[in-house]
Amino acid sequence: MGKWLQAFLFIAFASSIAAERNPRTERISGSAGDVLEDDPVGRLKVYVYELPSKYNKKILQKDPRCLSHMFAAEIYMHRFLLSSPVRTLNPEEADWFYTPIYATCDLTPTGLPLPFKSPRMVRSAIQLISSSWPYWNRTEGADHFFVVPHDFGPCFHYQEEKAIKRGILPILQRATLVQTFGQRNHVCLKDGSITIPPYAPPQKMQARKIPLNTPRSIFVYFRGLFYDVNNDPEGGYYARGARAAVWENFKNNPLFDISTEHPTTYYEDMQRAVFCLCPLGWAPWSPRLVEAVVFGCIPVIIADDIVLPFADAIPWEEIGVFVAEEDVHKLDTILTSIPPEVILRKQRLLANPSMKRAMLFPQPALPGDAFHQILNGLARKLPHQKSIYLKPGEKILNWTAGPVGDLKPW
Amino acid sequence: MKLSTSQQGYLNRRSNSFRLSRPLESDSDSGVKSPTGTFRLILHCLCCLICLILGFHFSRLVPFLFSTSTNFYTSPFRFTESLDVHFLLSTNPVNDVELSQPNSTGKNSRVVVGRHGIRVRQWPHPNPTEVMKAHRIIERVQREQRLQFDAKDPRKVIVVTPTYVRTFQALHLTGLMHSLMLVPYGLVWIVVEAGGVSNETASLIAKSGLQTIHAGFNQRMPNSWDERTKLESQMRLHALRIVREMKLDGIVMFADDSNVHTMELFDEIQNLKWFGAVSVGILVKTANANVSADRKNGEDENHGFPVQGPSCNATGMLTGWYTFNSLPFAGKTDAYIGDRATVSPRKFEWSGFVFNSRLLWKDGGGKPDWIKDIDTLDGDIDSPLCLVKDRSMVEPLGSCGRQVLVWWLRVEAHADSKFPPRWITDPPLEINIPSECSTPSTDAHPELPAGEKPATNFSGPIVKHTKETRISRTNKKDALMWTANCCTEKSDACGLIGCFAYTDSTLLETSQVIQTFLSDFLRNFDLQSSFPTGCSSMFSFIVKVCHITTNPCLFKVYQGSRNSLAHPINQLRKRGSERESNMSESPATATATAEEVVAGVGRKDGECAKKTIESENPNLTVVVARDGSPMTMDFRTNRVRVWVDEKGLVARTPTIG
Repeated sequence: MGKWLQAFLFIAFASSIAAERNPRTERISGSAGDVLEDDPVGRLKVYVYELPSKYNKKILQKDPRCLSHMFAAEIYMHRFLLSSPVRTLNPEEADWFYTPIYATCDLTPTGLPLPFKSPRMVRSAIQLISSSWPYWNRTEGADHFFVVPHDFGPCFHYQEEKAIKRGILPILQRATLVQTFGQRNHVCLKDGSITIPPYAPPQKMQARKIPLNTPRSIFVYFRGLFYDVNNDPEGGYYARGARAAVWENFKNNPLFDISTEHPTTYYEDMQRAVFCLCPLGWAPWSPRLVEAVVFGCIPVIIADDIVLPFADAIPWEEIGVFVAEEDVHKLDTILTSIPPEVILRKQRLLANPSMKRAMLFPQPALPGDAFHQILNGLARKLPHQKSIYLKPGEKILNWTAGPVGDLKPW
Repeated sequence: MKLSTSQQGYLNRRSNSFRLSRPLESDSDSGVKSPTGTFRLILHCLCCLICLILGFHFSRLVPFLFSTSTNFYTSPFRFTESLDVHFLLSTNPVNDVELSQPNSTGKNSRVVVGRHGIRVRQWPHPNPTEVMKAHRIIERVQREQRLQFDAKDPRKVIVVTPTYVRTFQALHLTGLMHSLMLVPYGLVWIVVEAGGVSNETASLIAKSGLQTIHAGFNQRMPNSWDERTKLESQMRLHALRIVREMKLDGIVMFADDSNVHTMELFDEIQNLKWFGAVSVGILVKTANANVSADRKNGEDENHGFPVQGPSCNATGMLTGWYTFNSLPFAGKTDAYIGDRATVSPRKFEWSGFVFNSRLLWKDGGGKPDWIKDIDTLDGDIDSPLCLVKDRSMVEPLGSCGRQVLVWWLRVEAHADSKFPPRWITDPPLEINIPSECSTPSTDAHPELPAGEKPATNFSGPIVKHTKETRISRTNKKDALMWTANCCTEKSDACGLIGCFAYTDSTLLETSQVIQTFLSDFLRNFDLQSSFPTGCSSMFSFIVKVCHITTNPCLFKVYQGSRNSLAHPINQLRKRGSERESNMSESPATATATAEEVVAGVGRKDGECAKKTIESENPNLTVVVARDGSPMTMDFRTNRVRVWVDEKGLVARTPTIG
């Protein structure tokens, strides 16, 4: 009996997968500007919790490198909200609550973030806000949002197996998560999360713009790892073999300008290329996506089931090229068979400044930038459903779930 | 269908997880067959004990220890569609970590986590058609960029061309005209003609549809190259005066009628401000090996290239000029137009310079003060550089002269060469190549690779010895029937069975292709039934091989038996020489005769051949002769000699004479 029930559930699950494969995001025809141009001011109010500086500023003081790596969105989001007109100082009138914690700012000497302490830190912060303010307990976080721009977002581990095993941190199960990680039907992406672009230094990119009439003479451009020899000596785990396949099939192809060496002209070269490869690495997302859009190079997205930043506002299907991981060896055929008119249209859409703005976290913030898109995303979730408010005494979250190590005090 | 695959997937998954759930220590403790829960409990207790002793959480460490030694990536959810990947992988599922956690919501990605195969295709090289497509895409993208971002109102191009009526004028001027017609900018073409405006030139340039100014120049073109160059300079100056009088606004460039231009040149000169220089490739024809050797030495000495153009330093500033070293040619160059030696360029060719036409204006246009007025020149200047007081103001174009954008070439008809006046042939020329078999589209298969089956690729006709009957090779049954009939009529295996074309480079391969074709022909040809008894088992094939474009047809005769095919018994024989000799007496008959004669070789014996030829053309006298026997030396166009060997079989192609 139980077996049959399981079978039924599985079939339901499988059919839901089949349904998910169809693009479900809203598409914007033509200029793709309308939703991106929305102004969130006046449509929502955000209350920023005052946390002790050990949760944010102190951590940053310890390691200022956090300001420039690709997970820096959490820091800039905090700074942005502090001076944003959507911020309210009266928590009673707030639609959303923001907890400023820099959970990923713990870098190894080589600059790689280690998220091992993050769960304890998040837990500690939530314990603090739930005991000092009444708002967390009202909904158990359903009207709170957290910026978790790590590899696998709220799963807080950089290895996918471990991340999947951990799942979303139990106490964040009800909160809205703002994360870079996005993959359909993945345990680390729950419904209602907002997928954001990774942080790429906006000033630096702006300074390296070359004239728009510089002929794009590179057909396909890619710089980065193909094999991660240290973490994946056998090959095939890293990027699920897709990057290795790119290298093995196209290393000698004159149309493919691919290499592991990161030249000083990297940004300039992207502006001279027609297609820029954005294959998955350990995680499906990469900063190349941002760079490609900003530099008008058509992103070739090789990451099955990826959920792209602001997919409800940016017509990724129209501006990018999606290549299945298993088709990487046919990349040249796929790219050359795209009609030139389609390519020109993609380039026109990419040239849309609102698209580029939405990918960046500039200092100071500009209308339509990624900060505003996050706020737009939050505003579109309003008003909150009545069901998120718990009855007095009702508890849903299990504070003792999860690995024992996460339960230790921070 | 979907349901069944899903169930299949489900079963896979179930069995997988059963296998997986008995996992981690299975190689150390393979005897354990207890259900999952019990085992996990035992494991947990064990870990707890170790934890108590060691003081840390050991159970976290266990999978880690195992995974580092083997692989800790898991592949539990494989749907049938991803199974094809699976066989590529080294499967090591024993240590897979179980995925379904109590806190995960049960949903998981369709995308399989873990080790994947690296798909490498068999043939990694790019497909030429795709490369071509890619370049088209790049070109299209760049064109769009130019349209969008480049100067919105491009400047007019003013092209100055000195010319005069001569044999090669049509040749050169047409070529230049076609280049100019492709220029995507506004264009004025000033053609200055020596010896006054002529109808020939006017009718040529009128066809261009361009805005043209056809001006006459009151001197005839002299006969020596030196004088010609001087006069051409004066003609160009004349054109510049026209530019000034008409106050034409644009970029002046000098296009001699024999120059060849890249289209990039016209884009590049749009970037010009005042006075620019581009690199010119000098194409010098070396008249003999001696000169070329000399030139080679010269090049080795100063690492020279036959290029004239600006050269820059690292910052892109003009530092000097690179000119063509004509010293090796001294004493060997043409003095007079029409000589057979090479024509060497001047130190600075005009075609390497472009400038803003406002420099020529008398007033206005904001022209800089480092330019000379053309009226102050005495009309005898070497190059436009004389117009510039300060040569450092010259803008180097084309990536600082690194790109050669123009080719300079002087080719004129030799004084003793014959060309039809105005390139009109009247009366029509006599035929020296018959139209048959020389059209590559139908008959030519020189590139047929030996590996392919000629039977399917060969589309050339099988030609019967009468011209009316052509039986397509593709209609094999008919072909066989025909040959069989032929044989019954005691004219077995006669006729031309293949027609091939060759080029100079494929001549050798052709022979292989024919061999393959004939072997295939034989294989598909049931000799026993096709040739009734009484026919000789020996027969010969004639294959006609024509040069793909011009040269005469050649014939190859292959001798075959029922089981084998011998090498050609006579080698290629030129038809052209034969033709020339019987031109006098009704060429048409001679052509037909040659065809028929050739067709007759395929017979089993000389007499049979004789009869056939005679029946085809009663006017001919056919003589059967032993190959190699002495013959009378007189040449008679109505006589055909059929050469036979000692058995009476045709030994080689019958000949006229």
